[in-house]
Amino acid sequence: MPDERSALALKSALREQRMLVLRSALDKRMAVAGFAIMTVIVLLAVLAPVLAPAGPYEINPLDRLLPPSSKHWFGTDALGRDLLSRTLYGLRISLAVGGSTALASSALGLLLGLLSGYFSFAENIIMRICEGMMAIPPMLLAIALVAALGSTSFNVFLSLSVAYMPLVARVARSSTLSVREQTYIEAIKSQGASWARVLFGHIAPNVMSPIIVQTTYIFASAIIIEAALSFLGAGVPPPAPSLGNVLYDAKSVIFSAWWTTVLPGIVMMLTVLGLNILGDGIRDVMDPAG
Amino acid sequence: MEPLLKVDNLKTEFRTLRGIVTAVDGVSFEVRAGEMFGLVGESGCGKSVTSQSIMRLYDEKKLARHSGLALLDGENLLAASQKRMRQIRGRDVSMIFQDALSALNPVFTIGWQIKEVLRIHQKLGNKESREKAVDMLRLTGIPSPETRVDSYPHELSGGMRQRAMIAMALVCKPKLLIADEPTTALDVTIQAQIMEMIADLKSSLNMGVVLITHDLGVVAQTCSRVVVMYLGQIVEEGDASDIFYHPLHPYTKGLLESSPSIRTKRGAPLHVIQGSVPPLDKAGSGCRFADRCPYADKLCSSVPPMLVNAGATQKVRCRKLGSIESGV
Repeated sequence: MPDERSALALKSALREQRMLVLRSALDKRMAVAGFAIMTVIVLLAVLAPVLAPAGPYEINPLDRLLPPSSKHWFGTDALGRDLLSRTLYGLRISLAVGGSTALASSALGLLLGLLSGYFSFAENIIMRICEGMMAIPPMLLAIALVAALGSTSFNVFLSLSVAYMPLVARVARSSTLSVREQTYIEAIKSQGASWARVLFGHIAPNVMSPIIVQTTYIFASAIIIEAALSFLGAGVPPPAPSLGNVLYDAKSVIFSAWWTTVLPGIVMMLTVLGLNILGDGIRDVMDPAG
Repeated sequence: MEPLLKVDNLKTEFRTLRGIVTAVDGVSFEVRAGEMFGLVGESGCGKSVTSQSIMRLYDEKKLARHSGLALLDGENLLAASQKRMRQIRGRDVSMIFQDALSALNPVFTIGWQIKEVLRIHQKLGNKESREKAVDMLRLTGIPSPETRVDSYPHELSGGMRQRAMIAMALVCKPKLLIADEPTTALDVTIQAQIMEMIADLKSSLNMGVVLITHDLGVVAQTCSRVVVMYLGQIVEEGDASDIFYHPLHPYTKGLLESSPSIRTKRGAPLHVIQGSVPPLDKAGSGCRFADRCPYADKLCSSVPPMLVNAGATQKVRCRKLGSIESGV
């Protein structure tokens, strides 16, 4: 059966080729480093109930402001709460708010970007609104929205999603404009595809890669802004331990107990750094030429 | 016999910054089932717009006016609703393109893309449509189609991509195939194979084919009838052998002389048609080829020539026909 054998050989050659793609992705050290950092951080957050030595709300007035030790790795805060536990639980909330913001704003932005890139009547309406929103810094827009809606985690997520959506919409729109002129779009139209199939089935997958990169950046940026909002009292309501709240609690003792700001701050920095490196890495892998 | 496709006095005008431009000006031709029909001309002569007009795939926003008839089995495509057009595209009329690499979506396997056409037009199970895709790939001569069906376009060679694209276009067994320069991007040996395959499929599916090309050699080998276009108008039409061996219009002659043949002396300069295709909106009132025509006189650029019968099967749009033939 030479035919069968050649088919098998072809199959393994194809598999090898795809493994090469994977390996070239592994060769991108940035992507791997970013992925590794984020894996560790997400694991820490997910396993917080297991890993944390104490509950995040457990107050212990006798152990106030203890420096880092073998019992309290990150020390304790002004109410005697274990800072490592609060940081781990804070990571959970920050990642949840940042991640859902990134996903929601990307999904909505992608949809609006696709529509405005494909239909010129939609373009004028959607893009003018987006430009108007982009004239206001995301931070300010989020504060205004939270102030109007009330500060709950959900409202923080909602207002951050609204604030970031125009960024994604713009990227999606410009990609859509170039993809829709490709011959393969004309080809699938010539096969009788409806506009919805053309737009969501054939154009959308081709505009995804810049959007995915954008999503990781928004993730990182949303974590910072959430922290800033919490710090200003417009974020996740205390005593819930978001990273911003942990830092806010630490502000009054910043000169007497350095660990209360520095250690959670480092965790937040590593998270944001990891996300940015991951974003750069994904961009390199997806667009080797750029 | 009723023709499969009857295009009658097709006129397509676009709105541009410099005003309304007539890209296709009164084109008429007929294609029968099982016939390969050639549409010849250089870039910008309106051959692609003609096919887009039949498929109604031009940019609707730029379209200024669209008139004439394009009857497919008696149904006027120019008057059909958008919904009806979507049913017709891919199922009754299909299209293949010059560059298969850009005509295949890079993020999907070729099998997925063939199945996509089936998803649009037929309700089939996943297994059934996969089998159809494999069968179609086998029909277009792709080796080990069971494996290749899962390949991405960039994993295939140029010839195989062309075959995959043709498989995608023909999976619903259309009555009419519009092939827009299907072999221009391929090297010569593959060109012959692809043309042979298209000709075979045409016979086995009893399909009409409109072959759009600038290569008169390919047309002479494969087509029965030919239309030569220049600046949106038909300048000559006839049986392929007549056009190839007895071209009447100076433009057709020029086209034929511009391609080297095996008999062309080594080192001999190749014939070129003087000048270049003028922009459509600069077309004068007379013969559109007058500026570049070696036979043209003063009257040519002011009196528009008619498409007139010349012989049993041939028609030509040239008022100097008599004097050219007598060698004056």
